[in-house]
Amino acid sequence: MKNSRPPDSLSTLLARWQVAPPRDPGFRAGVWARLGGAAPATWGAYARRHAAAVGGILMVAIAVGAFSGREQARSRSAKESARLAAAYVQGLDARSMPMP
Amino acid sequence: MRNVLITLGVAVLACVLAFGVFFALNHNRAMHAAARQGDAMAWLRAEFRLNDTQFAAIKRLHDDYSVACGTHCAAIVAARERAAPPAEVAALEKVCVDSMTTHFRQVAALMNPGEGERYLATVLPRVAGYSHTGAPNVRVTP
Repeated sequence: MKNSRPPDSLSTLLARWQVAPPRDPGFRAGVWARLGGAAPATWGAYARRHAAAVGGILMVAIAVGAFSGREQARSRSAKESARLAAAYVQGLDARSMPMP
Repeated sequence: MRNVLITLGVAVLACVLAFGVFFALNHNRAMHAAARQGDAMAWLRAEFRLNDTQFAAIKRLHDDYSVACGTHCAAIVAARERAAPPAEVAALEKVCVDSMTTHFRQVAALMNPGEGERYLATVLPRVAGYSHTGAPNVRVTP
């Protein structure tokens, strides 16, 4: 079988070839998306990507803080109340009056 | 790594905020003010949720009782000073305890029912649990 084109016809064809792609405004974003983690993710994006873990950590932190705050307040009030109750009864107890 | 640290920081912040909110919600400000001032009557008002009428009536009872208390106090101190027999001092103290108990029951009767019971449960054990070897009587022993 004999080749009918001369050997340099490919070079000529490539030299004439022109590409006119349509404009794509999302091209740059598409490249970053395909690169994945190459671009630095914001904390919001990170939190959304790990929503369950971040949500769990926050829930535990809030629960611990709330419980501690409540217990601390109640403990403090109970101590103050006990001290004042003792002072109240002692103030009305003639037996506890010191001798002059 | 940076995002993990930010997450931990946010968690600590949330923990501190929750602590502050729940501390403020459960903190009895009136009790704290009474403790700071050493005001037992303010404690009574805050602890047993007395309204103005109840508080005024109880304050009057206390003022009246303080006269009786002063009489008991003088009798006990006089007996101790002249080194009266222990039986006589004990009898005077019993009068004091009975009078105090009656007074506390009158005060409780002026409170709302549940609060009155709680009041008696708070004060009566302190009357019964009075120790003769405690600090107030330390000067009785020669």
